[in-house]
Amino acid sequence: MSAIVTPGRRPAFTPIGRLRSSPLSGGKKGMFVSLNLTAMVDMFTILVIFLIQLFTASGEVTLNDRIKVPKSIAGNLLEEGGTIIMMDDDGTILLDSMAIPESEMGTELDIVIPGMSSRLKERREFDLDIKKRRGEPADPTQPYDGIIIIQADVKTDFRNVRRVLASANEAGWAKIKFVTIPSKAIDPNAPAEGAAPAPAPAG
Amino acid sequence: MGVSVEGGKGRGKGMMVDLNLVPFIDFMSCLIAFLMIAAVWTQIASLDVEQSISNEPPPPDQEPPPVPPVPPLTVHVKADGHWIGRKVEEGLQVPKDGELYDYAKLEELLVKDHETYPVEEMVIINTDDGVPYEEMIQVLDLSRKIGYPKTLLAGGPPSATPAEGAAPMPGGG
Repeated sequence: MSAIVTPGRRPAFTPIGRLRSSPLSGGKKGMFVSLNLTAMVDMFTILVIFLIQLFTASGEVTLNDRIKVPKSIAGNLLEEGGTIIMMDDDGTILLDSMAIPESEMGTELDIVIPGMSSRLKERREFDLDIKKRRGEPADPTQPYDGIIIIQADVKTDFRNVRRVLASANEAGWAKIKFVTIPSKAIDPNAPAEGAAPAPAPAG
Repeated sequence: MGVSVEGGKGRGKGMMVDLNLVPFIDFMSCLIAFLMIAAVWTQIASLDVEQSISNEPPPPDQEPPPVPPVPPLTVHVKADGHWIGRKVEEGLQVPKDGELYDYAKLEELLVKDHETYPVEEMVIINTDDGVPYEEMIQVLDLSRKIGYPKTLLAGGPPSATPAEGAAPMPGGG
């Protein structure tokens, strides 16, 4: 004789998670189903470490469509950050993403760009002042160690580049880096070439 | 994720300790998304030049630098080609090949000069106004590749003869 089945609602599906009174367990104890997350957490950790390693100062320099930087073979990997000057082919010059006002651009005949020179001078003095307050005054016999990173479009008139270089020089900035795209992958451990100081010009 | 811990006095049943990994995984997912967006996937290189700052007066007891026995190599980048040489009278013109600058010929001459004067490290790159910036970078790159680690950047208005044009900017570059 079969068991009497009471009419009424029965669950149509078994809920995931704690299974109560499942037919397999004989209805005595609940069972806990858990996802094994160990492998995923391991992968996440490794991915995070890898991505943190990718972080370099070259992240400060962002390439954009408007400025097409030249290619180079002998360039070194850009590792240090600095003051970024962006120049495009129609003569716009940005100093750390801030445009120099038209009134401070000077004329094309001026050797330097007055607005650029004064701003760079202010920055240098500010930076030197901070270093002094921190108790690490700069060595007066050495040139200022701030770096100017020039990110210019390939079609930029050299006149503009020359005026920016002259402005930097007048403001006392010695180290210039021209942003390029390497034609081949750079080995970051290779010894750096170049960047040797140039002697004072004869002219 | 459950961790099974044996019962203290060797009784039959273990105990399930549950580590709550949900916030950890949430945090990791956000961190990965942020790092992937912020990561730099393109390598960026730089050509480094150090200017000599000329507006600071030299110490009074310093002697003027000696005149180098060999005049420095000058590459003049003009609108119609290159001029390369150590002396005005010995300079060579490298005219443009159609619309493009003849870098193969320039490289040949630079290699020849580097073989003749292997200890010389300095190149003056004098670029005329109006010449695209890329052409100066190409010459700079070529000179670094061949083995001149020091560069003096110069420039000015377009000039007919290289001697007049070779006027470095204040402080050079």
